[in-house]
Amino acid sequence: MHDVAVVDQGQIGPVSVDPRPRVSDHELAWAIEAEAAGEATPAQLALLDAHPVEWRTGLARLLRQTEADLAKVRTLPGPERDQVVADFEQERSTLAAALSRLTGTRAELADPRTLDGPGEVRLQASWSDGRVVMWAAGPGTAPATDEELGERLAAVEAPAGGWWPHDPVPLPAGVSPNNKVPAPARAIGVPQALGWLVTVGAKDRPDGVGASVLWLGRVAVWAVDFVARGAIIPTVRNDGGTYRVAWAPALVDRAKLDALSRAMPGPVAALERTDARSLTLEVLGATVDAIVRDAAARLELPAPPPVVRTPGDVSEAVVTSLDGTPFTAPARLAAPLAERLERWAEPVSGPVDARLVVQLDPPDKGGAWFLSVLGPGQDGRMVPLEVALVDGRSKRHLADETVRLERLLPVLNRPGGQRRGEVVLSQDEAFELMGVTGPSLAAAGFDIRVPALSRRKPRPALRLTAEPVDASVVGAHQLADVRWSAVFDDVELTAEDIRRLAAEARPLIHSHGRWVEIDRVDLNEAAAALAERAHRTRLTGAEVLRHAVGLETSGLAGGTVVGGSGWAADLLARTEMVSTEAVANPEGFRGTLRSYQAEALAWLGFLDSAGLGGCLALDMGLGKTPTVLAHLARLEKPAGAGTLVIAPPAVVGNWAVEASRFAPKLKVIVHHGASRATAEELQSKAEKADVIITTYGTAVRDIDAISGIEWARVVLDEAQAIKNPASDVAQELRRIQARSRLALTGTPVENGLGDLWAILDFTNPGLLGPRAAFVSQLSAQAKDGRPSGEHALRALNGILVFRRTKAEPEVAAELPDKIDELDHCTMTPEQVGLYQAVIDRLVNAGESERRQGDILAAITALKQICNHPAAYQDDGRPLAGRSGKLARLEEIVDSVFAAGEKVLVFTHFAEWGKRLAEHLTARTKVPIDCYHGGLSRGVRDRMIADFQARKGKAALVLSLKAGGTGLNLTAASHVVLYDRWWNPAVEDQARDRAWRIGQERTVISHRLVCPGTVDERVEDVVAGKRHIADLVLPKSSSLADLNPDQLRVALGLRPDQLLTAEAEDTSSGDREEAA
Amino acid sequence: MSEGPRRNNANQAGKAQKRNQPRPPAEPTPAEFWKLAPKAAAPTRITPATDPTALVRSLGKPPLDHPGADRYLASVAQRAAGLATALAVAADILAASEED
Repeated sequence: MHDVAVVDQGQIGPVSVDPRPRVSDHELAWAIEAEAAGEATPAQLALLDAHPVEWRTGLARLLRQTEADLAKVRTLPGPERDQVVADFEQERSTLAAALSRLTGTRAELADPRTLDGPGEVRLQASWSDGRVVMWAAGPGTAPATDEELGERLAAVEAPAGGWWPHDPVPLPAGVSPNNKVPAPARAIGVPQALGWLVTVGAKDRPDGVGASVLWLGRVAVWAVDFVARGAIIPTVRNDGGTYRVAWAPALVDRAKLDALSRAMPGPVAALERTDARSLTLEVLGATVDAIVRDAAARLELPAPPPVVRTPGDVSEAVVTSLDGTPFTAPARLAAPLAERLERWAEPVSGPVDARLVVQLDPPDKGGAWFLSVLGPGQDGRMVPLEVALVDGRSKRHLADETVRLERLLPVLNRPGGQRRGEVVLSQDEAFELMGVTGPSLAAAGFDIRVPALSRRKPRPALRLTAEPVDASVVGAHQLADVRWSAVFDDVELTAEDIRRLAAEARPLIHSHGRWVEIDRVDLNEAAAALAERAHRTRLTGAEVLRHAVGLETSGLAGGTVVGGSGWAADLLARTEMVSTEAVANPEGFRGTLRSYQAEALAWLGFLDSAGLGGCLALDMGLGKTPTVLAHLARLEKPAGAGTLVIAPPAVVGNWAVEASRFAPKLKVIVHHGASRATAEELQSKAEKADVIITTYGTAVRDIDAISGIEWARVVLDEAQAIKNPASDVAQELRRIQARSRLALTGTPVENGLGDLWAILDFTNPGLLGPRAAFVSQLSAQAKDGRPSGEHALRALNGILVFRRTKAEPEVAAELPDKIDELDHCTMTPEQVGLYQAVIDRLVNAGESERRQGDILAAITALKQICNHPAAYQDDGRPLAGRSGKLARLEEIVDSVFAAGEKVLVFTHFAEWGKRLAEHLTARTKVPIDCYHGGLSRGVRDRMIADFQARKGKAALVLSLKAGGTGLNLTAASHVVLYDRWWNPAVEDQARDRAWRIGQERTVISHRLVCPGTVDERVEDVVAGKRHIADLVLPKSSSLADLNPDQLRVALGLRPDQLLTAEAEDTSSGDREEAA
Repeated sequence: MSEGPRRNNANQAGKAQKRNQPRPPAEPTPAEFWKLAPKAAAPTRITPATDPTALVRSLGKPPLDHPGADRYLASVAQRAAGLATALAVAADILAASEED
């Protein structure tokens, strides 16, 4: 046999004249269906024989259609679903069999209906005396032995215990029904098998079990459903002289019972010669009984009477034996009680076809809720209860059901109703029915049709709807007429609506298709908020925007939402579209942006189009520079000046390098140092270049020239440099004219919300309002336990701020394990003077006096000077402000501490390491140790343990020699290599103190280098660009052979590369890693 | 709970009912025994009742001469619904609440 897929077979070929008589599609379809059902007439069979291709194609199409219909009806709700599904499955089975007959192949069904294929041995289950008897066999196979049976039971995780041997199950074999083959079997009680059966029954196609086991599982799941709904009734049974309480299912759905009975596989009844429906009810009853008895056994029931002599004693015996414990009682007393109990439960003990419907209509205009009860009429359709009670098919059952319903819903008996089963409810009563009584009625077996009720408390918000007064005015100054309303979920309420609701017993609104009760406190707050704003009918665009981002108090938990039109409303609507515009490979950019960078790029585009400034607040190491370069690269350079980037000296070089790497088409000019353009030249250079990069110090110094140029945009890198709005730097930079202002920082709220205001007020002057109001408003909103800074960033995120941190899982998932950064540091005048003095002394010594050791000593001295003047000659003076490297280190430590993280600082000068640790401790007020070889083992171990265990921010300085190997410092996520060593492997080892097994975060490694000094030439050696020998021996064979000029070239300062602090501060900034 | 081979004898009413039941089917042939029955529909997910005592309460006062009878019946229904819910959770067939 071959499987065939059920597909349509189109006819392809030349057009020809068909000699057969014409036949309509309908005739053919009827013939196909009749043949499949075995009911085709001779004429229909002849018709099909004459059209074999159409027959096969039509049958396949019909089968496919039936499968599609089957998939649809499986999703139907309601009690009829199972019956309908079973009917469609039967239909599909019939069609599949017909197709198999026709094609000689087996039709491959999308959902094979049987688990028991020919020749396949599977576990089977038979029902016998209230127990499950397990055996293993299949059609046309020999049964499994008892040992194999045990293995199969273990394989399907059947219960390990509770089994006992059972007589072999006689399986029919051969043609005669009397010819039997015994299958070794084991039995288990329902209570012991219950959990396993439910698990099996819950699966679609459980492995290793046959259809009979799955069927028992399905019945067990159904039993669980009864008990979970409380659809159970107690009965009293006579167990051969003793009595016991047995629990039975109530309100058994007749259609489902019939469907399950039809689906019962033959092996289930191998030991019970009874009809399928009775057997199904028996299995269902036994399973319900097992669950309820187990639960009742866990209750503390009263002690049974010692002797049962009176009717009262029998009642007491029943109550005390609800867990099924047998009790003895005279039949003359027990039998009548059993009968009374049976009559009591009669309304729910038989299978049911139709239920009473309790229907609550939504309120009319007067707020009245009409409740009506419907019952099945003569033709089965639902009619008013009073009609059904008179004309219905089973009047007695309906009367019983009506009594049951009225017990649970006494309001139906309220005097004054027009007809039985109809009553008008108050809002309070309607709410009670929707929320409490309705579910109880449903559990009791009634069909409840009430409007949906939500228990979720709606969150109130203010809505501001703006309409511009004059659409020709755009931007933050645009005036708009505004209208205020309150919003609860999707329901907008005016002040009048709120007054009306407040007067009702239960303030209900209809939201998202459900009725929801509004909290009275929220209602009062909304009324107060609207009253407070009643006079505010006209706002500027900036004011509207401030409301939207939470910078103006709303008084309601949901803040303010802005609708309508105008500059602010349009701008807010566009922010929602930004994430859909993310592009990872923008035009003009060489490289691929990470997802969050692509989103940031889309946000930058939004800012440009909206004429807004903003703060790109990506955590350190997340790639702010490449993101901004991608933005600049994809823009067309406007007429006039391009973009001015102002950055700390340490990152100016990096901007230039990354621009050439990622955006090579951008024309970039560095405006810094003594050889920079004059004020007159700058205008012309700015117009020719796409990007001009300068430092904060140079920008302030040249502010007259810079502010005289109309820039397309200005970018402040490490924008925390302007966090003090009163500082000269902040004041002077505000003079710069730019159509768009962008601030970059990883720590936008380093010292509080004031920092953020300073940055955003630079990017959008005046938009945020006064600093004090900004700080107090956002601080007041941070009620959810989050720091106010984080709350503010969340409120502004996507509009004026784009914030992403390494802690966000989706960001962390994209980051590499390690990020290496190279920071170019400045040299202070003191460092330059000392450096030059050492060179001069070396060069001026006579060649005959100069030895190789002197040159190596000079190199060490020069490296120490690059570190700090005090590292070369400790004069005891304070360290601050005397070294560009130290200033950069301070910035890194500040950023790391602001993020609550830890950093390791490596130097290969141990004495300098101690000074650094002391200096950083004094500056940050955080105790920072120096780990070096001069400490005892115990002290060093304690130092490491302290660092690892400390919560939150921490730093540790280590000498490269003592701390470079063997340590595990995974608590740190930042490493600073303060000075360079010749061998890159040594640095890698240092960095790997933090990056080891157990590290779960990205480790950022910062290498500090002073360009134009011996420091940078060591960097070249480390980077593999040069050899150590080349450094000092350009063409000579001995260090001592170098003449003075060669020495100056090898070790001297290179002014064109040197970054001098000049008059500007010695601060630098963090820099970006490559995308 | 007791276990082991046992057959429950029906009471008087049960016997009368049994007399009305259809006759037992004839012994099946192998083909009939292993015939393909329609597959039982996949089980619907279990939604426990918020008030599993409602059905018992709807029947009115039980015919038991015991002061706490209705209370004990309700307790059993409540506890049994809890156990059934636990079984549904274990088999991963508990329905999610509507507002989940």
